Amino acid sequence: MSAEIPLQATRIVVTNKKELPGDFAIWMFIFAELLVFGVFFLTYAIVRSNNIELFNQSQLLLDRGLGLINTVVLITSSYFVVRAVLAIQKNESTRCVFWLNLSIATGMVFIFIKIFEFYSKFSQGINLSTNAFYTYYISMTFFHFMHVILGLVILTAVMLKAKRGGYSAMDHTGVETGASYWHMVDLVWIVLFPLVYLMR
Amino acid sequence: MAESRALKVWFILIFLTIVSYGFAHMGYTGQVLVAIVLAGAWIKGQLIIDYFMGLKHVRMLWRVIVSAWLLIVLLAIGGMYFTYG
Repeated sequence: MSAEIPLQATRIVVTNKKELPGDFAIWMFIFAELLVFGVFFLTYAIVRSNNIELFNQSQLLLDRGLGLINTVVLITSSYFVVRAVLAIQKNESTRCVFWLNLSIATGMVFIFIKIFEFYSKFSQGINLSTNAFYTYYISMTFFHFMHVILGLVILTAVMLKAKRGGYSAMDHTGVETGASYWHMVDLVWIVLFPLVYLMR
Repeated sequence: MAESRALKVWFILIFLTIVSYGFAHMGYTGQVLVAIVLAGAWIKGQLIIDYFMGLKHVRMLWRVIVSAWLLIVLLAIGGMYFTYG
């Protein structure tokens, strides 16, 4: 008996569904990061359920206005990154660099505001061991803060390469990779901000 | 995604952020605030996933993974707040 596969039995599946934007490896990293942040958020909610009054009282000492500004800043930074990707898809390297610079600048604003917030809390004598709320507030926001810094390092590396003409409409995986990571940082903050600053 | 759509998404994200903040700032608490804020976070998160991350037109599996993460996390948080206050 022949082992040949009849031609009629073979079929090429044509699909217009695209693969993930950017490098596949960054997405494995993003999925892992989302999982870690998800566990953080759920444990915060669980611990809060046993200390509702403590959490509600401690939350009142946070500066919600700064949280709001930082949310607007991060969303805007994410928008600038979207524009950078759209620019390089049209082979507009200079515009791509321009939008990346704007996203890095707004990311820096987030960093400065967060440092001010941390400084303000530490100078009031508040630290990780003050109470359960501040253990979570400082841990989660600092963990996110570190991701913002890493995101800025990635965006800066992408911007410098774009400045040297390292990307084009045909080859811009690096820009999409950096953008994907930056949007993950934004997505996590979209949950973190209401959880820590608003819900009571 | 066109530039105009990106701008529209940005505007909706900012609008929903201000609405959530506004309700908290006006003194709303408890289930009303939690429902408004979590619904806002869900819409915002899904917009970021679909249009900023660009997962709307990739293979369904990838979009489902990230969207499911968002929904599960928000539902679990909401469940805790609705159950225990």
